[in-house]
Amino acid sequence: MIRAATLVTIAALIPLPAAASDTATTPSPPTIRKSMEKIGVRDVAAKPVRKDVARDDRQGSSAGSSPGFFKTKPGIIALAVMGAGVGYALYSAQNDRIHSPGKK
Amino acid sequence: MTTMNIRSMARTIFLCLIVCAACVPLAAAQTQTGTVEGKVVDQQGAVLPGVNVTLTGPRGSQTTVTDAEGTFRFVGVAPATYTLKAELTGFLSESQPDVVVSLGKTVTAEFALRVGGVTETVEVTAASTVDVKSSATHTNISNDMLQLTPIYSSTSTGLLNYAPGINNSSAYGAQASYGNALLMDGVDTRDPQGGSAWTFFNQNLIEEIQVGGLGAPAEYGGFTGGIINTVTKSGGNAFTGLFSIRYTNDSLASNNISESMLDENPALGEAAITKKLADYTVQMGGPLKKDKAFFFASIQRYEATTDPTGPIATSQDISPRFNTKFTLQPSSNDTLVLGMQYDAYNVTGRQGYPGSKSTDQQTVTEDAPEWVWNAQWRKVMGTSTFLEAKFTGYTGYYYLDPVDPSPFTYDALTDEYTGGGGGLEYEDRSRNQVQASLTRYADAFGRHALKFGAEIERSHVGTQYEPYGPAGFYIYAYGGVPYYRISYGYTFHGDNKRFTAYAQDQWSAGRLTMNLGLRLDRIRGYSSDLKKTVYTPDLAWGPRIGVAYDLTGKGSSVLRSFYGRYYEGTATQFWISATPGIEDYVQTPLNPNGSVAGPPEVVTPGFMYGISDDIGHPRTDEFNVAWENQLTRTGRLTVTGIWRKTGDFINNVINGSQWRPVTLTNSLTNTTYTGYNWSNRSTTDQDFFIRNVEGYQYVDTAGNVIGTADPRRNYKALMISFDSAFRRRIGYQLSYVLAKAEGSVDNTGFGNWLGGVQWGSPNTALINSFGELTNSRRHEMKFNVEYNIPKVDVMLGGVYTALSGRPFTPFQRYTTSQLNLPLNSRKEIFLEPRGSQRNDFYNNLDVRAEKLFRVQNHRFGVYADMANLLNTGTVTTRQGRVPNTTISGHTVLYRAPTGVQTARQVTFGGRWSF
Repeated sequence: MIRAATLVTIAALIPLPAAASDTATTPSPPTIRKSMEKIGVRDVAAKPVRKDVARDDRQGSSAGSSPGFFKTKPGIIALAVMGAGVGYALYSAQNDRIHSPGKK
Repeated sequence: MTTMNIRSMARTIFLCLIVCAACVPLAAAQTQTGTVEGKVVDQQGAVLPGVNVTLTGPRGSQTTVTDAEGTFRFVGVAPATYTLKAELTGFLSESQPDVVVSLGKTVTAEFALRVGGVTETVEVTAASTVDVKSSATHTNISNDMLQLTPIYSSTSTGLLNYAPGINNSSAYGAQASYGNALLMDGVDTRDPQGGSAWTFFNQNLIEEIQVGGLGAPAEYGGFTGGIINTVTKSGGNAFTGLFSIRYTNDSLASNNISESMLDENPALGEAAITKKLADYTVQMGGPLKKDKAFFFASIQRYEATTDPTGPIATSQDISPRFNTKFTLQPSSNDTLVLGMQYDAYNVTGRQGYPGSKSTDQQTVTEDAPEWVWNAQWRKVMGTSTFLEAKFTGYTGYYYLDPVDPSPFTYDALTDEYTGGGGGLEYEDRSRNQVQASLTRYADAFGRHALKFGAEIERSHVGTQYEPYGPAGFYIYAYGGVPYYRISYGYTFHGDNKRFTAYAQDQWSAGRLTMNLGLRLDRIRGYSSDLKKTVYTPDLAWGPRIGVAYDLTGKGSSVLRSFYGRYYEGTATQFWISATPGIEDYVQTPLNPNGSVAGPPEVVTPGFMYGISDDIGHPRTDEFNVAWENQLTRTGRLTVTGIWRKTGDFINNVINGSQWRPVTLTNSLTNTTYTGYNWSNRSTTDQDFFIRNVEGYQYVDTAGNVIGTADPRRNYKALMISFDSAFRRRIGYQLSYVLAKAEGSVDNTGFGNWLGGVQWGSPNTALINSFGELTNSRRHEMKFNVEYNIPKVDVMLGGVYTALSGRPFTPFQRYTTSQLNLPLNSRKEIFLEPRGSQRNDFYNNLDVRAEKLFRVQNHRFGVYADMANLLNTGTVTTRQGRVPNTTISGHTVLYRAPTGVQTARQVTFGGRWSF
């Protein structure tokens, strides 16, 4: 019975995406104007409306986000520490490696 | 409806699902993203269309506009902390900082804009931390918690144990280790043979861990316990770095074993200690091209030298580990992630075949490198469609070679091993998974978040098992006199093949949300040696039905209920005995001087277990009810009631076997009881058969039923947790769980689950077999707190754990003259009902103190971790064999301590992050 019930459920679910309409996400200018009129605010059309989800160029900056980070003192030190860490790990990968006779 | 009709219908629906999965632009399993949605209104509560809403995070910003109903949605949002901002001309802009997006979660935010100048921005309370639409109960282990408290583990299963309801890797009463889905960036990192964690990772890689498995939607499968879904760090627009080092040695360790414990068990004096730990990580991430391309690289060298429990003096792990990840955003709606890990895992001094009794001479070396890969593509189409596709997997091996390949001698009288180590074992593994899914938001009788997905898995196991080394045998002796030369070994090659399709819908109407789903797994086990499919279980249908009701209508309190069926993941261990060579076992008689006394006696000839072609894959049914309520800005209280029942246990029985009653003595009570001898062993000793053991009947020599196999595992629990992400100097996760796991199939290692001998005879199947399971913790408290002391800028982190001791059962091992059964394990019978005894209540407090130094956005810290700060010495395991056993040459009585919690040890660390 559980199987039958779930089969019916899933069968009912399958056509839903086709039957259902997309959520309206792109507002039309009349809708905006209507809203603005409703709350009595001026300057309705001053701001352009974006039509879709999009990443823009705005990004909170931090000291580390500058393109010249690696030319700064912390950047140089970070690179040096990184280099030392990578170097020793690579050395270890070569020298501490156990090679099984089964792989020879 | 007949079985045939159901199967026919199932096939039809299955085909429909495949067609749907192919036709609709596909959606993803085990999602690696979350959703942010909400509504914008004015002060009068009227909806505001056309509002620009911006979500800003580490890899740039996304902007959308509210629709005619004032709602907005961001889909495919990578887990991180974001700022959400709403702007409309003529209104004051509002922003919500600290919007935390977690895996698979929907964050709901609401803005009420006030009339004013657009250049002004008002900061308002962050979005709710409660997901009022989901039916799942999750525990998140955040990066803050991992970094600020003394939590450390390099395996998924180790980290699981910090979550409520999970101990000794047994999640919500399920089988430990194998019952859990271990996902790293969506890669299933389990061993395809037995399901334990195969890959290791650097804990510093982790951005967030989501521990789930309660109320899991249909996209999650392959588990009957919990899910650990780990997201690793990615690069962003800001350069970030972490340079970390940890160190300890044996002079920083204490001793917590008392004289009285040593009197009972002198072998405890050989408790494990860390002689040296040197572990460093260097990692950096940042932009390759702003908003478009990002990198992340991490390198770790982990070196641990230990003196493990038992006679081995030194064991050493060295693991250089390399990780890279590239995140590309070629267009505003496309994200491509490419990740790779290489881990060269090297071990010397690993226990050989004698196990914990191995001496240094009986150890093996381990050569165990692995490559893990992860390629993901996410595409957002509008605000209503989201596509994910992944190709993930790993390949690796571990090869064990003996230090001394000469044969060892096992003395059955003293339980001791002498001589060499044997122990050659070569294991090769690979796993490949392709997953695709489509999420689509739609309106029809409410709002729908539909998701369809498909997965294909191919995993390979190759084994060359020669436990007695190149010599191919060991010597069985009694009281110093050799009796037999015993040979055993096999090779095995097999593949797990799985196809999965699922559909789920999150259907919201007003405050009510229905979470409906169905998952279908088609699992096959293919033997390369036989060139045929050996394991053909029935199609595994996993319905998921959940309800969530927003109690306040403000997104701050939700009542949930859920029913679902979960199936175990794939594993060759289910069917390995149905392939050639596994059971071959040759015994050659020896003279007292060690010379061969005669031709080999083939005790167990080469034969394969039979396997049923009408077999159900093991599964667990779950019902839970939960209430989740936001109590503070970031704090939430969750109360969950859980009921779980597991069935379709797979194990082996002996077809046609007959059993003759025999009187045995219970040495614990000095009373007698009835056991059973295998009366027709000579004619049925090759009739082992793999099947669902439910309902198997044991009969006597007259054909009368002695009893019926009734394998069970049930779990019930009340789980209360109160947690808050680390904000404004404090973060915490406090939990209490009242639970009981009982049944007749234990929830420890996979031997009890997939193989073993329990159901082969009425002695182990019927006598005292039902009771409380080993991983049944009646009471569990876990307090995890992080606190920053102002002015001095010292960070304190603590993890306190209090657990009821694990149950155990006294047993007696009978001799071959008392019970004519092969293998010691078949001759061990419980003397009391399962779980009748319990170990001591366990308390442990680990603390970290870290002094911070901050220079601009650079954070320097030096810290000390104190594991087991109070140096308590709780006995964690006791000797269960009656009247005694031999450990390292010492006679250890029943109930004597055999395990004690790890003693206090201080580890120093330092790090620089920016």
